[in-house]
Amino acid sequence: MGSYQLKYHAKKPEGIENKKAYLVGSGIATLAAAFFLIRDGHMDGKNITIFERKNVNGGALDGAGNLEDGYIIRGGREMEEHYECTWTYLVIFQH
Amino acid sequence: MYMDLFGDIPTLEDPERTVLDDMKEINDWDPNVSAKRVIQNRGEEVDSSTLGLKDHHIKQLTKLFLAKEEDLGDLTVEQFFTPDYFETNMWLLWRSMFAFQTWHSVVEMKRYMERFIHLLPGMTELRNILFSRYNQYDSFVLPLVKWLEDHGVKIENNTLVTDLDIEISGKEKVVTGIHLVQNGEEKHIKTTRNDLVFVINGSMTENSTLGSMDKAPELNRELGPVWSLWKNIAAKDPSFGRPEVFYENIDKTKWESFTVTFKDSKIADIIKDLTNRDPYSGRVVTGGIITIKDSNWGMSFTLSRQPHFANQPDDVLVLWAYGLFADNEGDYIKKKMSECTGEELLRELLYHIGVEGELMEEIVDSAIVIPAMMPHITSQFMPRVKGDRPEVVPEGSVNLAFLGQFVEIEGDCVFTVEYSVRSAMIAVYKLLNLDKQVPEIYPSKYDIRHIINATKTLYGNKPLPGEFFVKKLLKDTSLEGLL
Repeated sequence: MGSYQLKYHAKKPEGIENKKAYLVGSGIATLAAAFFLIRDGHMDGKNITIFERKNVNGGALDGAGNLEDGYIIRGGREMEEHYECTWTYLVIFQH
Repeated sequence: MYMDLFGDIPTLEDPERTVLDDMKEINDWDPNVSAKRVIQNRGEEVDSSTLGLKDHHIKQLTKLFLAKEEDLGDLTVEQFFTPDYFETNMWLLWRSMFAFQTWHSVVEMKRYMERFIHLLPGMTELRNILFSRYNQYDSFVLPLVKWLEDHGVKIENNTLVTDLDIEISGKEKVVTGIHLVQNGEEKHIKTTRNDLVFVINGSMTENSTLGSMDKAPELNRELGPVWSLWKNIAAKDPSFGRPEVFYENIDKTKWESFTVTFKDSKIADIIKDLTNRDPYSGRVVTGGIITIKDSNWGMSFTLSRQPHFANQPDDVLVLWAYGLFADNEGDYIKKKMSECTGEELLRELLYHIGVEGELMEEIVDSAIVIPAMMPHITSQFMPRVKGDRPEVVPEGSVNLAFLGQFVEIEGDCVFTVEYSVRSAMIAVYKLLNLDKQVPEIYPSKYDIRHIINATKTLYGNKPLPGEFFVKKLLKDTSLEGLL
């Protein structure tokens, strides 16, 4: 599968402005889903709500701390070039 | 000094660059390669340059490659291979790199072999593995959350979803309500078939607990709220999966990690001796994990590019380690890993990299160790059969999708960011009925060049059976160079 499929923009779904999306958990999966709803599904971000039980977002993707208390990562990620879905998603700006 | 060391690192936070740009830029500039993949006897390198397979192991791997998932069922890795396979370099590298255990699903091992077959030749040195500039939170989560919030998405924190109302009539399944507890207050949201509900079912990091320098993390065996939610949903229809397959065997799915903050530079000399690399260079140091072969805890550790945190001072080093066998006694600290304080965990690690006496005391005195116990961290690898994991959009679902590491996606591998993102894309495209295709999984397992290279790797880079004749056959043809 190449550019012909990947670069294609899906048509705006009928009635998308009247839909609301609720996402449970704030792991990378729901963050990505919210992104695809907006970019590919033409949904207004204002109609999207993510529920997260903690006061920190990201689920398993963690990283916190400071010099005084020490830093903490529960794990790290080994990635590779052919994360075909991830790399189409991570084209957002860092800021 | 600082400028010289970091002078050629690209700008850290350039608003004109995307997360992908940044990822590629730093990995092109500083590609990962292992400094020493395996050590033993307190710092001595173990030769792991080949996978160390015998012909009958290659036969078994080939059989696994060709087998059909439904024929393998819920077989474990241990049930599939002969016992001596677990003495090979390949298993040592595999186990430590992916946190695979002998009692995990052989179907998942098969998926990894196929999905990442193009990476097999680089596996002994962890080549072609990409690492983000900083830790995963700073590099991925922060920019994503910011992008979403800039686009109007609301993230409501301290909000626990406990159950869904799902109307099942005929062939249709419709979520009609969401039960939640927000800042301690119970609430209910009504949804219609016009709305969309996405649920991350299950969690690898559910009920994680942290310890400290003088306290071991307590293993939490309770059923956490993420699993409870999936359990409540699953009770409504068989197509929503069987969460207990994944959460019930904590002793088969837990392991412990710890993060060390070194404030003193003494550790830098030790790392430098071990890796021949400067930990302050801003480049990869250990180059992925270093596995300690004779560690009874099954310990591996890594010093990623420093700084690993955006707010980390230049003279501080942050190291991460984990042990596959938290119930085993240490080799220096004669206690189970799970019972050790942060200080004891660090002492065991220092012992294994050859540190002792006064130096050990000095390093321990100026370090902070935070242990993390994760009861479900490899639950996604538990043996499973069809139906244990729900489809991303279950049969008949009008407005409900499951996301994350516990859904069924043909051919892709769990314990990856990609799996979660792929589930999200499938879910959105399907529920919105978008006329757009999800990218196919990189089909390297069908590429003869990758299969040949992987086979050579299995054979320890020795000529393949028949290679001489095939080469002769292809000589002076357009296919010369295929082998």
